[in-house]
Amino acid sequence: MEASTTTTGEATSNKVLVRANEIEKTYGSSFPFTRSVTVLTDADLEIRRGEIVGIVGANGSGKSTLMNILVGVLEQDSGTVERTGTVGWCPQEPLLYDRLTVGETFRLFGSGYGMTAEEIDEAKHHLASKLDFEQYLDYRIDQLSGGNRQKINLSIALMHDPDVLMLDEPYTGFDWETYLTFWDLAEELAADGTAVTMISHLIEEQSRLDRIYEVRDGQVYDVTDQEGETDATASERGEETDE
Amino acid sequence: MSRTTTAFTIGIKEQARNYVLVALLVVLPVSFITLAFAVTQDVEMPVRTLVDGETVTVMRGMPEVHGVIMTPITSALIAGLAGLFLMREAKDTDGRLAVAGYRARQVITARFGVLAAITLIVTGVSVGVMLVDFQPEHLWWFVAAMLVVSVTYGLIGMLVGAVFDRLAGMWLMLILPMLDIGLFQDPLFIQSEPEWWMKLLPGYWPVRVMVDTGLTTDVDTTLSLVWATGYLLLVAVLTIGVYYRITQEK
Repeated sequence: MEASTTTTGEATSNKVLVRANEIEKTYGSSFPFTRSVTVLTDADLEIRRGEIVGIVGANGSGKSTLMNILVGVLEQDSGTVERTGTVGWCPQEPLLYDRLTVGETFRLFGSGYGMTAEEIDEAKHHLASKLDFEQYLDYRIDQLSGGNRQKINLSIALMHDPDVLMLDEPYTGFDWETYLTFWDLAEELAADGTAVTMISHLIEEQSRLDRIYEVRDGQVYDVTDQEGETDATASERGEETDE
Repeated sequence: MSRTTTAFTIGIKEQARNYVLVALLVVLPVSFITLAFAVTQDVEMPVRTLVDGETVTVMRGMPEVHGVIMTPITSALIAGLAGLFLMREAKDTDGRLAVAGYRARQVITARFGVLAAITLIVTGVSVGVMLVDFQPEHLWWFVAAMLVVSVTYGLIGMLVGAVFDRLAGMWLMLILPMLDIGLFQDPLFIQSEPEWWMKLLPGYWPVRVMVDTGLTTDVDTTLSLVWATGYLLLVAVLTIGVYYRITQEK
């Protein structure tokens, strides 16, 4: 199957906003005597409006690869991805420009989202107040702590009120209060119709998720209705699985 | 303000806060160019160049020849490192700009605009420092060749940044202009017809122009400047292709 990705305009109804079919991805190497690694073999997944979806799986199972393909920063070898509406992406490692201030970072990305200066300013102050980084708006990114950098990383994904939010372990480095605030935000966004998708490692979070996909053996399984725990959550606690 | 303008103005601010680059801009021209004039023994040296379309050997003062060579080395070295830093920093994060809605051509225009602005400053400072000790016979031809070699090295720095990490890239971009301009194109070292592979290096055509228009009264290297510009365009197309490949939205 040929690889293709399509993005269409506004998300207006209660429907599937992201659909991935038969995604395959192998990381090759152009150097001799090095092996290629197959990560995804036949991955299917749907993300609907207003859902909070968790993607779980053991380390190295391909969760971030899958999310990067869904966002559009990584090209699949084959399969199709259809996206509807605007996307906000919070990568696992903060992808920010170290020598820009927080305010300049908002301006740069806000301009990309097509926001006006007033809209950027409003989003900046709203998120700074909500996630408690108002005092750092004039700081350079490389002067911030890891937790505060992650707040900016998350805020850049949220600032344009996207239809689809893709979050790769978005709470890394957050203190407990910020962690709880993050979940309040995610639930508010989902209630407003945003499709929130996040890579999650924490077992206690699974009760907050409307749907859970597990990435295992290169494929994606819907394990929402399964009793007990997934292979991934068990293996992360160091227990043996029957994989 | 358009996306391109926003990305360009913020990119300039970001580079102005790159203290390594600013320090290089302050320290290198004086230490390389001024010292080259100051410490080089004042004796006459044979220099191969074009006069009335013929390759001839003329006698020129060694400080002047050394100065003519050290000026493009300085500029190429700083521009190359600037290109390297620009690409290394942009390699991962510019992909996020694409997700945010920037078109590849908008990001490319902004990034190349930043590199062009840095190169203009670097060339201006290098030539300005040189002018304290030495006046080329044809200043604007000399400056044109300086710009071409500096932009070419800036783009090569970007290409190196796309392939190598910061440390390996820095070593490469420190060594490459030194070897190319300071050894293989330097008339103090190369006093016969250069080997074919020396002519493939980025410094070959621009340095021919600089030696000719810096040290002789006639301009005989118009064609060399055309070749140098062609070389620059080739590197530019390659760099745009590589940059597009690593930052585009899939």
